[in-house]
Amino acid sequence: MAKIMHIHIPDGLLPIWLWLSGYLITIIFLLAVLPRIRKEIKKIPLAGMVTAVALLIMSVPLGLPIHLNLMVLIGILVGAHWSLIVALALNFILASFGHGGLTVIGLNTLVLWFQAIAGIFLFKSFIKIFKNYFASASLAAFISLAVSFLFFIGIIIVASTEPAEFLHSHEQIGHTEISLKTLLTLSLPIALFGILTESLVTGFIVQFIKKVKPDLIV
Amino acid sequence: MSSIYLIDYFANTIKSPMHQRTVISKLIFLLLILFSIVISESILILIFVFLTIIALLIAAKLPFLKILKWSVYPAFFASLFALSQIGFGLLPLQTILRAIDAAVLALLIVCTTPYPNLFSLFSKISVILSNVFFLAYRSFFLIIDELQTKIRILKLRGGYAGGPFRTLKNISAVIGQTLIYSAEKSEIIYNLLTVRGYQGIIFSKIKYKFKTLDLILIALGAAILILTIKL
Repeated sequence: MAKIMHIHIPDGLLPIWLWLSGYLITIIFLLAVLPRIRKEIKKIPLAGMVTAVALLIMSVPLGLPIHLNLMVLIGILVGAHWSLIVALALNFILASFGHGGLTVIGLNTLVLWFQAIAGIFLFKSFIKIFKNYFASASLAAFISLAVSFLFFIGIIIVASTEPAEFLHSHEQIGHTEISLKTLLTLSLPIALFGILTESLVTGFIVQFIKKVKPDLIV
Repeated sequence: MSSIYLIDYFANTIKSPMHQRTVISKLIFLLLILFSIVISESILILIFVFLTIIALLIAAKLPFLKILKWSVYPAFFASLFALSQIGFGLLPLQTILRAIDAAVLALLIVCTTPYPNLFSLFSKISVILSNVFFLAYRSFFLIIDELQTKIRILKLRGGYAGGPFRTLKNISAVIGQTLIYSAEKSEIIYNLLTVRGYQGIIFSKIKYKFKTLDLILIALGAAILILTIKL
């Protein structure tokens, strides 16, 4: 089962400063988001339920060698602020239950939250243009996931660069402990396949919810 | 889907010295060992850490072969990176070992700690966070049967036939139904909690009292970290 839709970098691969930065940025965003949602206690069970569904959906066999994240859909359902909480809960539970990546929970949360926020913004923009829920949701998911894959590659590039060199030099550093070319060759086909599948599924689900319970869509 | 069921079962029903340790001592142990895994550049240390965790799994009366099987998942992803590191000496092997060590370590902690104890720690950071964690975990067991039944019906009615596009559309409908079911269920849960006086806080009481074995566990973690730094 491939899950390259969000970073699945194993523990010990990234330099300590990078994953600690991931935690630090996540905490800063949490400090900004938590006061805004403090009074929305009615949404707490919904956020919990959506997290549980996302955990389960990752286990649903698709007949294809991938599984889904559905963060764009979650963003559309719970909104931008709550999707940070869902992304954190999802990553924490997955990392604790054997998926690995305890050190990259912070970075993973940021990537998933980015997918949700970009998805909400793009979906709202596309729906005004296309007036079609399937097309708008699919396209929003495709673009969000594709950009988050580039973010994943960006993290790998930054990881193979010393912080001082990264801050003070604009040149590509020659020394790296990961062959980016090999990594791209291995991960790009899986990512493309996964992004395409998830985009279609997001479109189908949003179309279905629009028909059956339209008030669920934010 | 069954792994969370089993982890919950292992954490709540098995009685062992490891299960009886406080959450704090287990988390300190986890952090010390995780730090060792992350900074270690020695294959021997990584193997030693792995064997230590296996010994603790056995001491905790946990089925270590099953737990090792679960760690294959992160090992698979680590192998993608390991293949990209061929030509950098022992680095590919280190990458895979680190991934397996960290995954098995996390599983050791969750299989010996009931989830309310684990998630209640988040209440020190934010009550909303700990509530969402707690309700997500509880909801998992509410939804799992619903989703499994729907998937079974889909299979029986030929929902997986007709090509990948049709399959995706059918599965999407099942996921959509599950999401709607969850949203409706979340409203019921909220109403029930409100009737019981819920105001955004779920209380849980956990023990923080350290015993000798807690200190031994922390000392073991510290010893491994010192060994890692020295080597």
